Amino acid sequence: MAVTITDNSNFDPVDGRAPLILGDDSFAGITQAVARPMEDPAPTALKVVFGIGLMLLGLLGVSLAYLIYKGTGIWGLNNPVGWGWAIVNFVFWVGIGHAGTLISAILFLFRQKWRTSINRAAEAMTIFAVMCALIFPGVHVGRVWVAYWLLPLPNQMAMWPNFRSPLLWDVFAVSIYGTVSILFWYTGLIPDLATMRDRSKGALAKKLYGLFALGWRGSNRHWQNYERAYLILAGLSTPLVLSVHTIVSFDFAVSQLPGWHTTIFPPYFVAGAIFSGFAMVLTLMIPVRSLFNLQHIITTRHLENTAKIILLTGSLVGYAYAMEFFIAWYGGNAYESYAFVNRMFGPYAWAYWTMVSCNVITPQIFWFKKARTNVYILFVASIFVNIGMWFERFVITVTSLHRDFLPSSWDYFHPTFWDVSTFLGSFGLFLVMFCLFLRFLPAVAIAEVKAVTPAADPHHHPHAENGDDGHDEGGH
Amino acid sequence: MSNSKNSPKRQWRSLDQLNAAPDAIEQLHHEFPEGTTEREPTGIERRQFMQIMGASAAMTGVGLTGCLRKSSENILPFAERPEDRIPGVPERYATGLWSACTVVPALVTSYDGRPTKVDGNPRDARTGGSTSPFAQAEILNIYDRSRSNQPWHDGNAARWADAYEAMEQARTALRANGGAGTALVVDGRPSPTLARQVRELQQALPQLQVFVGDPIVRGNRFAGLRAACGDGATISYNLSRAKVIVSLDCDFAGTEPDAIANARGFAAGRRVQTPTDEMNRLYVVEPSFSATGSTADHHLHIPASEVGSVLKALAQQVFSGGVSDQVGVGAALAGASAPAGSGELIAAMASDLAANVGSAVVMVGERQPAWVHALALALNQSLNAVGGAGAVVQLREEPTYIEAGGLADLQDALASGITTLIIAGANPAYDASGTGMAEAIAAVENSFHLGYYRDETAEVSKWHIPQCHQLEAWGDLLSADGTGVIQQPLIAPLYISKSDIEFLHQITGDGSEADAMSIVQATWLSADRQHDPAGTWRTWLRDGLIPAARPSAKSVQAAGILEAANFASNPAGGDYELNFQLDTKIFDGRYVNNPWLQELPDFVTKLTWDNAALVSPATADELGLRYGSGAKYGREKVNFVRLSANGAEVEIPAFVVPAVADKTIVLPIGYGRSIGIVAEGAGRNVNPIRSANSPWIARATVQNAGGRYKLATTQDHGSLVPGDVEYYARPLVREATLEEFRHHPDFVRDDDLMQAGKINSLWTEPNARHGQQWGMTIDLSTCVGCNACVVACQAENNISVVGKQRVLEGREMHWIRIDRYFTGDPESPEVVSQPVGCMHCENAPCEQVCPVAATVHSPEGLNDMVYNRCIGTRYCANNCPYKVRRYNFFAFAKEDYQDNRLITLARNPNVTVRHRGVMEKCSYCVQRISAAKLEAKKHGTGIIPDGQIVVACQQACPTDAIVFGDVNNPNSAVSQSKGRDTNYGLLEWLNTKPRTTYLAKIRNPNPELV
Repeated sequence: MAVTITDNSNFDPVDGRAPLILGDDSFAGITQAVARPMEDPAPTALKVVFGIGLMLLGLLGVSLAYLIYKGTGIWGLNNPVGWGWAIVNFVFWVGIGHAGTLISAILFLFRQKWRTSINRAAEAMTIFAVMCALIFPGVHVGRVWVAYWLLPLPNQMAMWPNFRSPLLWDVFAVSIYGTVSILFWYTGLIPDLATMRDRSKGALAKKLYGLFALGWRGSNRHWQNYERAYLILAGLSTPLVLSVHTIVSFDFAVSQLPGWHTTIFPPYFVAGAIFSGFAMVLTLMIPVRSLFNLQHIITTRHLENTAKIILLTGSLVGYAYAMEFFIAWYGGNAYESYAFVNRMFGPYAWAYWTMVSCNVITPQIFWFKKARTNVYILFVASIFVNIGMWFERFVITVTSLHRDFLPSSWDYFHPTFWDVSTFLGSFGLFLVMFCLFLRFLPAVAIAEVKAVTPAADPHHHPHAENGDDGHDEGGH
Repeated sequence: MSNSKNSPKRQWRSLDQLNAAPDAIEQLHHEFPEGTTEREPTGIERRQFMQIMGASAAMTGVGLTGCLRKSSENILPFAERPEDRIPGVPERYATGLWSACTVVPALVTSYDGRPTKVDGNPRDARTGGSTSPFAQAEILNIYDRSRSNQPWHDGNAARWADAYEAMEQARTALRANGGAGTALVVDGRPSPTLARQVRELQQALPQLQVFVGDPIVRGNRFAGLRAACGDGATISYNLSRAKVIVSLDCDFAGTEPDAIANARGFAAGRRVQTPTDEMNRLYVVEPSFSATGSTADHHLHIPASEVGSVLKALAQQVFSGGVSDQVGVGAALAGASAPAGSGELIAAMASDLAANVGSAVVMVGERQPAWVHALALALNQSLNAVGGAGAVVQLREEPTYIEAGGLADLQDALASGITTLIIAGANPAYDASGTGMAEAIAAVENSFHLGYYRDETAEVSKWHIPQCHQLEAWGDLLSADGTGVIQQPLIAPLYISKSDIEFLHQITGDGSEADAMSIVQATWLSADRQHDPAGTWRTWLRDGLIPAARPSAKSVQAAGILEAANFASNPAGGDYELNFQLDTKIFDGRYVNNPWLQELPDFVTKLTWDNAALVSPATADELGLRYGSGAKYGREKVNFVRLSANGAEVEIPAFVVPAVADKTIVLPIGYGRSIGIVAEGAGRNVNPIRSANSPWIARATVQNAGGRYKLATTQDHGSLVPGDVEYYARPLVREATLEEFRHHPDFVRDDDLMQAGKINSLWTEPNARHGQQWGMTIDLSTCVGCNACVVACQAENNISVVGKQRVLEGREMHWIRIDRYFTGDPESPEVVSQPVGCMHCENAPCEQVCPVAATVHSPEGLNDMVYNRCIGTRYCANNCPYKVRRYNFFAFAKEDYQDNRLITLARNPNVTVRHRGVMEKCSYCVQRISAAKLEAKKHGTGIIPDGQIVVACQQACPTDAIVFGDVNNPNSAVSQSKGRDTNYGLLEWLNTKPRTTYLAKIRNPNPELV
């Protein structure tokens, strides 16, 4: 190895692209690096996070049990504010669930090779976030035991759901999105599961990995079919990335509440979802890459690219905020303009300004390359964006509801212990699932990463900078 | 997180108390399992935690279907059906209620022998079948598990046998000594039988001292009438004939006696249908807005003590303006000076009165001292308002008048050697708690108290005997115009108990055996007609009304008035004036244990479950009281004020209300009692600082006592001023003056945000208009904010009471609410009111968003709520622009049952009791529509005639502001109403096409003052 590159973020894409994988980019080395977290003893940090996750998951269990036992009144909901943290959390988690499929599908279709290092973990994040999200619409209803009436199940009453209701569209949108995401994720996992099957020493692990690897042998025919399937699924997922949050936004936009009833919501929600999803990718990947020594696979350049997307989508979201206000004023509807003035200066001004600072101001730091390549700044900023995006949903849901048309009905929403505990509990579910994922499945798509290394691109012209034969040891 | 046991805010919410009292009725229910959800939502105790863990385990194992809650029920089928009983068809009995010092001729609905709903008797011309919130809530008084259910002796539960023996001994002693040393306190209701009993006693026992225990009946109005007209006079108004009404501190459509008829008369003169209609004009002078005051064309807020001088100045100007002083009270007016700032208004009122002689009236409220009442009578006489049947004011002989003292006289008597005290249905120890009455009663050697609750007087009496409810006993009443009403029992007493008529017969009578019915019959049927061959008695019972005998008129005499006016003086001392007032919900405290009334929002303050010292913003600043930011969200954390007057001190939360006279504190009375689980902890008792000689007006030193207290209001304060920074223009309540209406009849259209033709639907509207289509109009000009509709709806539709804590959380359940907004200058605002229930939008936003189609449109245009189907997403409520949907955040109905099992007897069997987790809202009383439809199909063409369906709010409304009917029939009352110029829909621009529309508010200000 002639040159060891540790920072690939400074390479000008015009003059010459920097390698996406640094350090040991041999096939064996990559497999080794990715498989190690599953084979070595679990690091303490992972055990601690898993423990915290389990405790929070227990809290979720208690919170949901008490909720079902007692009723939705245990939350701070009141008469004008019929939706509170449950819906906020739902939209928050669904939003986070956007990055994975976007990375896997859209970036795949656009041939963005850097996606390969982070797509596996991001997809896992998506699936777990959608799981967390699905809890909330399920339990926020008053009679949980008949929540299945939301599904169009044939029944003796010949009673169908109301197809005009955005909540029903939501049921379809989110469940389709969840299903396709899982399929997509699983398809991508198959070659890696086979790798793990071949590497694992325990009989049970061998059996299980083998079972899920579906008899993968890596034959040319397998690859042929696999790539075709993956492409089709990427094609299927791409519109879903846009549709799911569009439909989630319909929950609000289709109603006629001032502050909800705006046509900007679909693109605005999608941009916000990608924004929050990428922030969550950063929040997760930064600790994971250092914990498992994957810095050479998930490189600074990957983080920087993520930061660029955050800057873009954050600015889109900021533009949407501004445009909402403009239209509220330009539209000349007093009820509408009041709703927005009330957001900025009413009793929830604190939430509004938290949202603006986190979502609009924080990402602006990514205009600076120093900030984009500094993991500490990236991590802190990603946390801010996560907070900001939760508040965005809070601002939209609660401030619009708490003061609408008739001032006589105005009220204020105070969260209770159970609001908070259910939300924290959902993080427990997420953390537990994610820790299990890190421990038992390859967090990086081994096969796909190999495809972006020089070794996957055999060619005949020499690599001048590497001496006579132009190749590293172990070259190609 | 609060522990439920420590929370003082929890009303009517403790199972411990429930189990403590051995109620006979409840024991019948013990086969039902104890409930498990009685605790506060925000705390977990160890046992509950275990339950939750169990539930959590069950969830994972068996899924969620195990959570359906179905209680087991036992039924008692009739082996043989009683004669005339048709299952499912309620019986309705005519009777009468003495309710908030008003006689209410009533029709009471009874299902299987249990009364469930009180309505007015439509045969009665004065009330027209309407009622008051007090009368509507009377049902819950019967099914009150805190009512007295057994005799008590010296603080111990006693046996009836001993009680009978003690009463018999008292009777023998009384009969033997001719009543010496014995005081009898009777209830103040105008009952001919009670009056006959007392008069007979007074004859038989000349030394017996008799007192009337009702401080309102024997209050200032009574004293004023006595001064002006001599003993035994009574007054009633016919406001429909009045063109100009000056109300001096008189909430005549709210808490004053005969309020229903007065509200009705007032509205009749106020209803403007076409621009050419005439309209009365109302001037109100009072310390803070009353419900009646809020409808005024001109409102002046000054301390109650200055109202008298306004009257003097007014009378002076009326007399100097050409009206002759017929009574001759000019001497009393010498040196009259109007309070600062009132001159212009007084001049305008005087000229208006003088210009309308014969159709102008001055009304004075109970809070004003006797001389103001007397002087107003003299002025009315001079204005030719007083007279016979056609006159605005009728003064006549009160046939039920008895020679008796009031509470102050009782106090004097107790101090001078009373050894036996018999109290038949009064509560002097509370009503006069500022004067040491309780101690005086406790000192009496031998005392009997008949009471509905084991109240303050019961505590200090030797014997307490439970009283039965007026719907459980025979009785009679004379309404204000002399119409008689026989009260007949609708139900046997739930507990062994006595009516005051029976009690009096038992403890003072001649020893004869007589049941209550024969005692009442003896009053009405002369001895030879006891057999009643003509069936008169049956007719009376059926009609519920006995036509008024021609009462002899009373006249106004100057002497008494001049004498009373001579003694006119206002209390002195202190820095602030206290103006006590009858509470608009619990009256003088007699309805304090009624959860419907406790949870009813006061019209002006929107306070529930508490009273508070009402102060103006300026006074609050002066005292350094906290208000404003904390007052934004209906969860008002306020300071206490310490009021010192009458040698006592009271601490009470202070609540800032616009348009309270400065340096004045308005105090609703009646709270702070511990007679039952509902009353416990609600509000503060202010009676200790009321004195005997000036019970309504006092001077006090006032301090800010700091502290924090949460008051539960259902609506925050706010104005509707266009351009107001906080609200922008919201033309929710549209109003105009009569003058503007005449020049511009379709003024309501000015406020439309979108022109009707520009509003289009996205899809074909589901609701083709064929057949009968229901709709409603609400006339904002005649709504007086009396709240009768709110309670009527609650009674009819089994609406849960949620308690103070839940009101604080914003979860009150009323299906109809009265929105109150202030408009105009904060210093002297006007008030507008708007009853809001479900609008039954033709293009309902709620229907579209419900994912399970639980709220759907009926072919008759109703927005139906399918409780069975509702899963509780609350999306409908979010999307309802009127915010009329109410959600069962908890198992409210079940909690109500756990708090008071008798509540199930009050339920309307035609209305589903809602489960937790479902949405509910106004249904246009769909059960009444269905009943009428069945009737029409059985006996007619299937078309329900107009006026056949009377919905609960409409039925209760004393001013007929609510009209309901078929909007598809151009001749129906509601179609006529919707055809008026002033008809508009709330938030019509949203294209909701509301079936409930409003008739804009018209005011009639004096052109001189505009």
